[in-house]
Amino acid sequence: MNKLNSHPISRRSFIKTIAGGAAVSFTISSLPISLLAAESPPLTDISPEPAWAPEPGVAQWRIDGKPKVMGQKIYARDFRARDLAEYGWPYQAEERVMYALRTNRINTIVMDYQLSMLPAELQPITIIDAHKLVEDKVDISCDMKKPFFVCAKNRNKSKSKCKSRHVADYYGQPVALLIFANFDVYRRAKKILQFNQDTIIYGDTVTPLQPSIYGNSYEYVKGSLNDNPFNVVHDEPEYYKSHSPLVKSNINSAIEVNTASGVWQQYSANYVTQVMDPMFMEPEAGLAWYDKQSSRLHLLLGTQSPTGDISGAAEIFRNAKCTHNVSEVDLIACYPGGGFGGRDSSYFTMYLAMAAPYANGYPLRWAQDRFEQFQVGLKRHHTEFTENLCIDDNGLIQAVTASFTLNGGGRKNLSPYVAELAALSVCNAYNIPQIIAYGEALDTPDLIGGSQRGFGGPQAFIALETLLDQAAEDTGRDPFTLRRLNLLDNQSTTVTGAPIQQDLQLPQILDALEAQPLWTNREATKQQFATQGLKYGVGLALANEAYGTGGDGMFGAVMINPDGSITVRTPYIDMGNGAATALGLAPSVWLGKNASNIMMGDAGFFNNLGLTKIDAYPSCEPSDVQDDPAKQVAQLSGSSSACLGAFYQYHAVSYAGLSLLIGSVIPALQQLWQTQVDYKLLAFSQGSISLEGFPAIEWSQIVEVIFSQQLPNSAAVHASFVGEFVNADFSFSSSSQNPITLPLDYIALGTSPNALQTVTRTNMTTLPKVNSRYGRSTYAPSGALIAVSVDPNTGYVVVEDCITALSAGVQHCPQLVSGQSQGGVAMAMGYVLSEDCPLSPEGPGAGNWNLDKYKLMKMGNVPLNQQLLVMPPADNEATARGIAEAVMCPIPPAILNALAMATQHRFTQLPVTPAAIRTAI
Amino acid sequence: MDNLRISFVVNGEETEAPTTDGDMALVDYLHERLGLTGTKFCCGIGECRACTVATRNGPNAAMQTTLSCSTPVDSLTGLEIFTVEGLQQGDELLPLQQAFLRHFSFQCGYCTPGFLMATWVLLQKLQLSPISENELDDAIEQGVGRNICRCSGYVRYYQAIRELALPLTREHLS
Repeated sequence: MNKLNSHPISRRSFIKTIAGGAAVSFTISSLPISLLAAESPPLTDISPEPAWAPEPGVAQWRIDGKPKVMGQKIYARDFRARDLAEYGWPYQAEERVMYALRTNRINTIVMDYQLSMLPAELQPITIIDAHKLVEDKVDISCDMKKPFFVCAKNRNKSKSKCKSRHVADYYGQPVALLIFANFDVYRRAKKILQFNQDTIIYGDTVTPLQPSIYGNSYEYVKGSLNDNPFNVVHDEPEYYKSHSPLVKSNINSAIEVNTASGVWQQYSANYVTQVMDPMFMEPEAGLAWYDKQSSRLHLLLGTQSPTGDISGAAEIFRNAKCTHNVSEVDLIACYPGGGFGGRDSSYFTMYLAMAAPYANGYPLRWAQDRFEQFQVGLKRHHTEFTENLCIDDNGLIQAVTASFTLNGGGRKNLSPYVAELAALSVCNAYNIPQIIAYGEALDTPDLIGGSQRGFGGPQAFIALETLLDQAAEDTGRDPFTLRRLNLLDNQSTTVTGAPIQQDLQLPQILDALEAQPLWTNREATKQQFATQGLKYGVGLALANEAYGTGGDGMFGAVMINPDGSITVRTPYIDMGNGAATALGLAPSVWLGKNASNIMMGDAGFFNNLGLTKIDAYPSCEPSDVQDDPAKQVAQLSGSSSACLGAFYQYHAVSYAGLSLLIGSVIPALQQLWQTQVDYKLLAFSQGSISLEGFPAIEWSQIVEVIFSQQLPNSAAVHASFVGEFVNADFSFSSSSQNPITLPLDYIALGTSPNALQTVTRTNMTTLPKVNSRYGRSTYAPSGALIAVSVDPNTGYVVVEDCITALSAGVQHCPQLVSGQSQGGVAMAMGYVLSEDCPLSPEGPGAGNWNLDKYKLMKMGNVPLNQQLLVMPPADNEATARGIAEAVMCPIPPAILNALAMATQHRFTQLPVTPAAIRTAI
Repeated sequence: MDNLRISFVVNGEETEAPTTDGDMALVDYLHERLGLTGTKFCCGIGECRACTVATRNGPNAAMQTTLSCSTPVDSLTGLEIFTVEGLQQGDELLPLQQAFLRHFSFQCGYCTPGFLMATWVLLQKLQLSPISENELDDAIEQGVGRNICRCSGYVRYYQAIRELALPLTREHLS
């Protein structure tokens, strides 16, 4: 059933100096099970085209599809230590199993905890708490800022006093981790402990701490000063900083004067959006094993951020006096059972890593249940925001001011950056000359916020799109016309003053939606619904969601196997968004063949290349460590968010294919044809390569030459994007066309993945410094029409229909694009209409929440007839846009606008419950 | 104590669980005792149905869905249990599995075993008791509509299931 034995495991380590100065060796391995995804053929035969995609560039099904319909082990929750013998785990040993004893109050002193309700045979064999960490010199909070544990007051009597607070920093902060001898003991003990109100002894109530701001707050001011543009991009940082107050004051004065005189109409609203759980289907789970003899910490996880996770894990033990010496960390990265941002820098990893040494050499398993996941899993933030929209008599937007306050909850995670993107998204799809946009994330004891699909964009789009709709209604303008008057184009700039470099296709999106009978017939349809006693409305919204982070690095590798099949390696994670499938198709761009195998989450392989980031602003102090200049790149790779695959990661993998074409296939062809070959003139057809005037050559012949002549069969590349791709000239040892300019900043070729040699690079472009101030520069615009019916008696809302128009560029796999859109619609419907994690003590923080209380959309709730209209690629557009987050973004404001048409009420608080609707009506 | 065991059949193989495992949820038993992790744990309270398995009380009994997260082992005596691992014979996928693949029905895939087993049961019911085409959507809703998928928005699951079920409706059979 499990064919782990059938594939060799290749692991290579990379060394990194962690905070504190210690050098730690890291390894990240992709699960060999991922090789099964594409039915790896026997290595002795010539490989047929992969069954999942026999035609170059076209997928018949997902590359990871077969294991998923066969129930094979691919998720972290599926694995046991006994499955990991090849990785050197003690597979015959019994697994220890862990349970977290968590607080469910945030304003009460924790006096003590007790386990007397457990009979002797169910007692844990090890208890880890704040004192244990102090005794063992384990970093009590590491870089999480707040300690691992609440420190029970009555236990604070030992010599090594714990300096942690005695009040939980947030709902669900553990007071202790309990390690049980095996699953059976754990199972029985958990039945007694979970929901037991006697395990933690609480004392007096205390005044909660005042919220503070996590990290930085972000403010963007766009306007003019002395008849010149004023914005982040136009002005040097010091000038921008010193003059922002003046420009802000001018904008506020202009708003005051012009609205008072009636020259501008102002539309304002205060919004509150709720905490939303990503509700990925696989609750977080993982395995850990600390091998004291080798000082190696082994982890198996399904994570969106493997590199960050293992660095964080190592830093827990960075104190030189720590009882547990960790000099190596080894992560096996599994397919996550959903992500949506909820597995990006999750604290689950930190706790599991910290606990591993306390299992005394045994493998340790930790699998949260849904109650625990609701209590401590990363969430979309509770957000309070205010927006003012000013429009002149001609319908032109003159100014917008907006302020977003995100409740970051008990741990920082990526909350400040989510607040930043909310502010950056404030202009949405429109050219707005004057903007003040502010975003902050608060440090509170509430549910932990983090990156979630849309990353702050959904909140910004809700505000602007509902205010625009209100403005259209109040001024008697058509909602399409009003939007058309204000669209961003290549002459306008974003909130930062960044240029629009893509064709956003916004007019085409509006045209496509406006022509829909759903829109043109809306009043007639409303009358039909009225005869049934139902209210009806159709809402429009646009969303110009960015993809990428403003400065992105990406790796990709392609290997030709002796059987002619192709393997792709990538550090990227497929959390369900289809990245593995799209990247599996990427080699077809230059090699005419799809991958048979793909290794996702293979960050260790790439980290081992030893690339470092160029210091754009070198300090005067010489560094002790001299980086290899040939291995310096402009940007390093980050976490895996859903929007990064189609454009960024695909670029890297496809250009790894080109590197292999130039460095390996071309020399083979030159030998076979006995002539110089220009790679741009090659044609690929039915498993062969041809050049005008020469006989077509079968792929198998080329492969034979590659391996017999010891030509490179492996290419690993890196690319950097900051407003544009970094280019460089590369000199391939085997090419007569040298140097070749490519949108890459590193290439390595080799006769095996473990013998890569750097290809000589010259003339690497230095991107303008100003690019780093763009904020965002790549967009996947979309618009939606949503039709709703409302039962005025019950307040029950039915989403009757949905049409989304999307600028997706060149679709790698249309089925994946529409699937993302359909999933985004369902998730957005839940966001607006049903999903809610209250911040009150009765909410998920109490530890007793599950899907009986948290209401998700089901098949019967979603419009199964929904349509997706994908715009044809823009002129000269050669690749895809990152759409996985974008497709969710226009749906919430479109629903709210539809509800406004149906009910004549503008809802500004989510979720819009039946009770809220009944009250409004 | 050894002769006190709970007997049932999993994917055609006789299984005897000790009574000490009687209060264990079936999903845990499949994972921990049989190494069958294809059946997924998600909510643990029978809401999401990711843990759906098929069961029948004897070879001639009708197949039905069972929520393995909420079904204790001591209630399984005499039952036949079918999990996702038992669907295909050898390497050959069932048309049901192929349809989910061709339609790109799932994304992360964690809910897929539950959808597969619920649909498998639905299709068998339709084979035994054909319905009219205009009743089909209600039957799909009844059979699979309570299964939760967070990624896909259900559209592609629905399309695959309808494609499989349509030939089983009375109009098409006749």
